[in-house]
Amino acid sequence: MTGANGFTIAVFAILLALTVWILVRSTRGGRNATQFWAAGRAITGPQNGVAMTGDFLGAATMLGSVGLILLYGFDGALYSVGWLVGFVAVLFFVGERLRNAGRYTIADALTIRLGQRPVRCAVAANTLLISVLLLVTQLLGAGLLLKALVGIDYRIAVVITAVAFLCYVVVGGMVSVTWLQIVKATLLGGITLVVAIWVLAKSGFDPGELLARAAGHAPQGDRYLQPGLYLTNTVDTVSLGIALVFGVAGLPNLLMRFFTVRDNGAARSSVSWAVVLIGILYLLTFIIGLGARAYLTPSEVTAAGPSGNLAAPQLVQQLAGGVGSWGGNLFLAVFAAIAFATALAYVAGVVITAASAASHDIYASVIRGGTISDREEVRMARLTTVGIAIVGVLLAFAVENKNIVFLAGFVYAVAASTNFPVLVLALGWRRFSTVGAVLGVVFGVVSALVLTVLSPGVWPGDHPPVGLTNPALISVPLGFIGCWLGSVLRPDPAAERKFAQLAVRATTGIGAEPTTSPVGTLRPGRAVG
Amino acid sequence: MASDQPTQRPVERPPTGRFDRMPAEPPLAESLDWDAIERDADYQELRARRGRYIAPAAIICFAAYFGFLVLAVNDRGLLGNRITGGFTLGYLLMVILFLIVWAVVIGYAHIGRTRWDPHVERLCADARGGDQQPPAAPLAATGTSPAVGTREGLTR
Repeated sequence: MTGANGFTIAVFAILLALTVWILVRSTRGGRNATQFWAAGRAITGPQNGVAMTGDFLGAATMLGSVGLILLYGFDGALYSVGWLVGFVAVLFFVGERLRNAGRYTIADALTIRLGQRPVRCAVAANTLLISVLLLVTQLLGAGLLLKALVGIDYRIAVVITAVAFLCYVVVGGMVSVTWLQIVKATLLGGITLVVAIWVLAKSGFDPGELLARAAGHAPQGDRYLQPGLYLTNTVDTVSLGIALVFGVAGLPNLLMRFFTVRDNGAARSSVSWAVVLIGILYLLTFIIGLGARAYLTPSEVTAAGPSGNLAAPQLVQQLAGGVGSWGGNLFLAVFAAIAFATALAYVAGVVITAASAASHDIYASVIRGGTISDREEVRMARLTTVGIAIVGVLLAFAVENKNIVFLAGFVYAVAASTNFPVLVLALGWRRFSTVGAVLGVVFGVVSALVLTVLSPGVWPGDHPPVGLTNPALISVPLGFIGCWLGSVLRPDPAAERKFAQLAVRATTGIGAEPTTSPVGTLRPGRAVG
Repeated sequence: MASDQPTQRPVERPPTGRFDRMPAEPPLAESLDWDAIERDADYQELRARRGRYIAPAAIICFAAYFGFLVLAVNDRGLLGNRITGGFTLGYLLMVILFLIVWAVVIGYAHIGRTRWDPHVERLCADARGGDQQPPAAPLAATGTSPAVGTREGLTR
């Protein structure tokens, strides 16, 4: 499995050339804050849909899903469905309205009606927390993957990944991040499609046959086709479902993508593209996971690791001719390169989100009170990007041998308990106040954190005080309660007065930030007074 | 060297002031009567029309998903019934759930494009015609301002 070969170097070189070409092209649009943070708002709906697919699917997500299906069959597939349903929440409750209301960050939209300093600080701190945790989990995944597939040292792999994403973000900003996501999603979709068709061809293009064969090879036998191998408890499962569905609607790196499109119509179409593409990719992933169970030998299943994360590369290698064969080496190299591109694009998207919170929300808007020149804002953006990358690398070093599986669920729970309630209430509840928003974020983060620490996955003792594996069932309602409590205790007449402005702007796009691209024209009736 | 610094700064500032020019937001935010638009019956109708799609569609999707989860955890025998080969009822329901999500999202995009967007255009044209450009119509009618005429032509 391990060891670089000639193919690996060749394929990585091709990938490098491709991404450098993107980088060069993406610097053409000029340099101002709108270009850096929002790609000039000139990305089209379908392009953004593909980029959103890339933003959402990390290497860990795809490999993890294959592994879960290999090990737990039906429940592995069931786990992934929640994310897809989450996009319905994105589309209905945030999506196009956020595009109309916002500028570069979520806080830009909220502070149209809510108090600048407190809300920006709370929301930006929360965005930083979510982004840095996502960054660490993905860097860990990328490092371990490169170590396993290419055979380089974990720390070197992490540093290579960090240097690579820094180049894209610092030089090209959101434009190069977007195109990196598009290329990555296309490559990832391509190899997923090829492997899935290969697996299906081996089973005569009959899903029933594939499933039967997988069950025949599973240690659980027929139980492999039934639910109950991974998700065993109703309360835990529903809690996980809530975290996945509403967490997607609160993920800052995904929401930031909405500011890159021309108008709300493009925001809407980008979500429908993303939902269709992600749905297809998940169905293909199910086929690959089942194929891994049906066709991998017991020793290969063992080599896929305790969580099955390396099942997909094992399957690719075997289908293409086996260990050491010409085809096996070639496909493994291609797979490793795409997995690396996947991780790279994902962390680039996360880092630019974190930088937007630190640089645009906290530095430019709170510390400097918005009186910052465009050039200075871009310079600060680059500096914060480097700073966040360094923090991410150091944290990734620290967690090398730790089990941080719980972090993924925790991140989604935090996003679902903070950004989701705050955004929905800011857009929909007239009496929602500044203190309500701050209290909502605090309640959401603290409750998710405390409940996770006390949960079975993290608590060191044998009897965890809380039985819930994912905190969302309690922390999401607590997030809403925090919003309500703060709004009732400290009403905010200014926020109430400006409710109409935010609601009308979000619904109609009157006053929405225009595209700065010279190519596009403004839609009639919008943005121009 | 030290005396250069202060003289350079003011020279450097003006071209970088794009940030100050770009958002048309503060003047627009003050000149528009947002509350009047919000009270407008046409705006209320737009919100109601969106709500009439979103509420049932969201309920269907979330009920289907969480119902499916609860069913999966509590009745594995039922979902484990084979339909053809190893293809079980559970997998069939999962595919149906995917189809529901796709249908709801594509339907939303379609209705948004064909119904809500034209509604918003009309609303914006009304808001601008009423508050922003009172002289637009007479000018266009007399033909003294071709610029206004072409702009009106674009919006229709």
